[in-house]
Amino acid sequence: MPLVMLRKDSEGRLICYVPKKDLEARVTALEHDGEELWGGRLTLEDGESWYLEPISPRPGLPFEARVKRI
Amino acid sequence: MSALTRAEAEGLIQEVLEVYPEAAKQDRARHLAVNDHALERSKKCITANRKSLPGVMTARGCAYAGSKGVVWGPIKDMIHVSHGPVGCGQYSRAGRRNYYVGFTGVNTFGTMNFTSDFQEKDVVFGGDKKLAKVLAEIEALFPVNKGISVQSECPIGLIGDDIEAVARKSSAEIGKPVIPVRCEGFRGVSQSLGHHIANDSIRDWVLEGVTRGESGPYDVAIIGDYNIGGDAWSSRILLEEMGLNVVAQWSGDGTLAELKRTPQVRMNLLHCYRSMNYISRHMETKYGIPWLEYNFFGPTKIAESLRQIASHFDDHIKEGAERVIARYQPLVDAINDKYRPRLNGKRVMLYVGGLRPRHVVGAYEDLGMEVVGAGYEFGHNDDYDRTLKELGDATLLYDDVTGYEMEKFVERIRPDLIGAGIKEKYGFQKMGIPFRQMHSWDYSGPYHGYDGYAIFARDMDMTVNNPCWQKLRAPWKKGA
Amino acid sequence: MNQTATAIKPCYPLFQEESYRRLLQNKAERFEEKPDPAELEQRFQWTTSAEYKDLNFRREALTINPAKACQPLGAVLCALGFKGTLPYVHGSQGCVAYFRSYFNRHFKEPIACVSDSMTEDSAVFGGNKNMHEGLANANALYQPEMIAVSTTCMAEVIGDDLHAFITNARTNGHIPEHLPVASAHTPSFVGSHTTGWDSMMEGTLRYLTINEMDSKEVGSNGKLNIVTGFETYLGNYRVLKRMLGEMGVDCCMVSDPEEVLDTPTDGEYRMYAGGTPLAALRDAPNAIDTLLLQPWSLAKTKKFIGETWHHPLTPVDPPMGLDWTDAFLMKVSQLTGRPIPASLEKERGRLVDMMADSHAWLHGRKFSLYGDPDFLMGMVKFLLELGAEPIHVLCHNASKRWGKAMGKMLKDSPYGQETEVHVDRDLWHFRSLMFDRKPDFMIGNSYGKYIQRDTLHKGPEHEVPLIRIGFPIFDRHHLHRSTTLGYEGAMYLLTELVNAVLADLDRKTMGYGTTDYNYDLIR
Repeated sequence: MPLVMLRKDSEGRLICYVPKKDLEARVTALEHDGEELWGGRLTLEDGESWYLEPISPRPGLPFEARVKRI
Repeated sequence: MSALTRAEAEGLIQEVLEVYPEAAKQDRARHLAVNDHALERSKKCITANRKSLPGVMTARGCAYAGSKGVVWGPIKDMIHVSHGPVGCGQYSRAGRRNYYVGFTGVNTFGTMNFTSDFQEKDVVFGGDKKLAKVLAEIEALFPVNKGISVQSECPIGLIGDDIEAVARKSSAEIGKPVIPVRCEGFRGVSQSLGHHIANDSIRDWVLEGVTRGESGPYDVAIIGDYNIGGDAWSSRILLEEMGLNVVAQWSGDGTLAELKRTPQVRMNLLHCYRSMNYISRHMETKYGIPWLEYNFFGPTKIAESLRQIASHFDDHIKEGAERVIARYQPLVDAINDKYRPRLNGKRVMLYVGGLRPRHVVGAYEDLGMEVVGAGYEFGHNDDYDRTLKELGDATLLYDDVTGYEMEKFVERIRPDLIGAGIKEKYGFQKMGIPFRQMHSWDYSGPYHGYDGYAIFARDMDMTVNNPCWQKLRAPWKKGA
Repeated sequence: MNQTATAIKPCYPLFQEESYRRLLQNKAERFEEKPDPAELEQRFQWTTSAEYKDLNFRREALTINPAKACQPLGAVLCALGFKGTLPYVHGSQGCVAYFRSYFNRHFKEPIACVSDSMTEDSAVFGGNKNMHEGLANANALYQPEMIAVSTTCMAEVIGDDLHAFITNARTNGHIPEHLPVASAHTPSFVGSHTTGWDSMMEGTLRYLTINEMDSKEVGSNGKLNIVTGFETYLGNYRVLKRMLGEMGVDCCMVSDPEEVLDTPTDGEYRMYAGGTPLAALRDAPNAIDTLLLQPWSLAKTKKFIGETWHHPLTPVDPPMGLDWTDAFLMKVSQLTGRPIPASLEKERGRLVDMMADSHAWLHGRKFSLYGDPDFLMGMVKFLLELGAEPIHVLCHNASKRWGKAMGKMLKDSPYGQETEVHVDRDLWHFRSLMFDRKPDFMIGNSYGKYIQRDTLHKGPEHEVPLIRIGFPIFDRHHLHRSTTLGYEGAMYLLTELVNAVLADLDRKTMGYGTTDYNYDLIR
């Protein structure tokens, strides 16, 4: 259950930062991306997928959360 | 000689690895690579931020160096105690050229060395009582200090001292912050963890309880500029000229008041990502302050950075950025006209800490020079991620390079200039390779900003083109 | 615009420009919460007062601006003086980065030294594995003739057993059977850099000779061993060899780094150069005697050579200045039966000639000095010979017994009657002393420059200029190549001192139309 930080980069893209791995990767797909429900399966640009317990309503960014490897 | 081809560079790496015992060879192979523009992620080609192999002559330092030497040390109105034996504080005293102005010994303490000078009895019986006394004595002799940080040396963490308790108690007694920092030298694999620990201690002991302040529209902070040779000043002058209000410098020429004031800014401007991304991310999470990486080495990157910074502000700032760029353009042209003919096509190898191997590439290119090899002493993969695109395809990459490897690479590549540290300097000069220290600016600087670029150009020229390099062989041996 | 392409300004004078002055002032006033300048000035004056000095000297726990470093630094210098030897420090790697850069800055030379990079897990499990891998890697990469292992405080605190680790490394095949690996425990919380030099010397001599003593006979090789102790003036190694050479005395300089710390720039980097051959070290017990030139800093070496080699260890003072060089040469002559040649007598005469020529500028001049114990003994002795008056002698890394001996030497001279001796005090104490009783000059390493600045800030009449003699000297070039021992060394010291006096007088009398007197062409 690594701790990650989700933030927007300067071009407004959603970025997932995994401090333990010094990894900053673009989120290429997010299962739930609505105002009411946000989270679920996260796919990163390198193909890795993580699961974030969906949150309601959508949180403000940046946002720190624990995620599960899928 | 032109740069190596990919095949030559890969061959060179294999050749250099030959000498290692098997296990060490496998380890080092992961840290040596040839740049590939096709790659998005550095981890596909290079491993970083791992333990150095024993016995190979790494240039790396320790967590204490990263905390006391880099992050905390420059905060000028606090006293930083080297807690433990006498050596660490002595070797790191006043060597980093993180300039400040102040009454040293009265309200600023940057070039001094405060230590608890551990003796055997302190190791055997514990050093907490001594520390408490040290803190009290500091307060008596230097009453204008704004606070004290306790920089742990190796023994502290091994003998089970409770410096946090001592710090809390002393802090209550003297009514000033006393900050325990667990930066024992054996923690982590390099200076890098020391940066992180120092960032965390600022988060927990300085920013704790500080709320988001009233923000002026143009308030920014300079983060990760240690004012080496005055770098932060030659950066600040540009930011102010474009209309921004710089309320804090982290940590070169910095003060405790500035650190505490930072949560009021609109944006954190981050120069050294490696050593201060942690606190920037923290302020982003806690206060919602965005941060932006910028690069003030060389006119191309400076202009790019000024515009990028300005893009987050209103037209007043955007016009300010353009005005600054236009104002300095004649200077840039004059510098380039003067120095490019002398430096054009010269090849550079770099081996620096955690930022400059990528950040100075543009400045060299502005002078017509080419970086043919680069490596970080303590970079992580996110640093290499940021590096791949800055460097030419097939450039040699070396992480935590050993003395042996670097010598072999240089023997083969024979660059026209090497930019690295003092431990590398004299050996390469003996080999006849012009060398500039790229940590301390070789006692020159600043190199940041337009004023700094002029000095950078002058320095590279004087070193590359000094007549001494033509005198290596005795004239009676020339025919041989 | 602060720069032009034709006149590029570095930090100074760049930051003198009006725009930067405004920038700094603005930063201080608006953001730093800096105290009022008048208050700061008042506080500064307080730090120069007698009241502050008393407070300062009551310190018990806090050390400020020490005048010493830690043991492994000395061990590394000692190891660099053996032929083909790689200094190896067992413990945290940051220490080695510090030792190397500290010596780099002083000698302006590359320093080869490895660490075995112990980390948190080694703190738990011990550093055996690090030692095994470290020795194997170091040997493969740098092919030393010998590895000299010392320790950082981390390894000492967790109690690593060097001897066992090295033996295991050999038994398990991590290093070749016949590769010598000397070792010494060098905890940084005991003693100082001079102790570390002594420990490494003792450890190396013990390792190379202890099991071969049966075949040894004192005096059988006809040589004299010289042990300098922690010595950073390269000229000193050279002058000792020259003097003994002129006497026809065969000597073994036990640890001799003058080559490896002074290699040429000719296109080749030499990691190893010169140094005492290991064969010479193994043969050293066969010498007539061993002379320890830093008697206050070589306790362990002395004990070992006395007990194991059975050398007489004829006591000598550091051969600094006139008398002690005389005494040294006479001892050497007495031990070897070789007369002191005319060449050295002439050199002596030249030194006396210089002393006579310059005495009027040095007699009665007041000097305060700090540094290592044996350096101070020799330097004070020479000052007294010149008729100069030591005002303060401060040593951070000497014993009380040293303090008494220093006190006695001073009391025995008419020029040492007013001298204060301070033992186990640091340079913040020394600063207070400079305000308390002002000397004409201070003598010490580069760290004294901050004290000079402080004394000048109090007012030009309070300024105590620094004469740089000692270690480290970071802010002047090439002084480490000089000589401070022997007649030649005394000539260098005298030249430095007298010209400092003359330059200072020039500085004070060059006021145009104000102090034209004493600003002389001829002196």
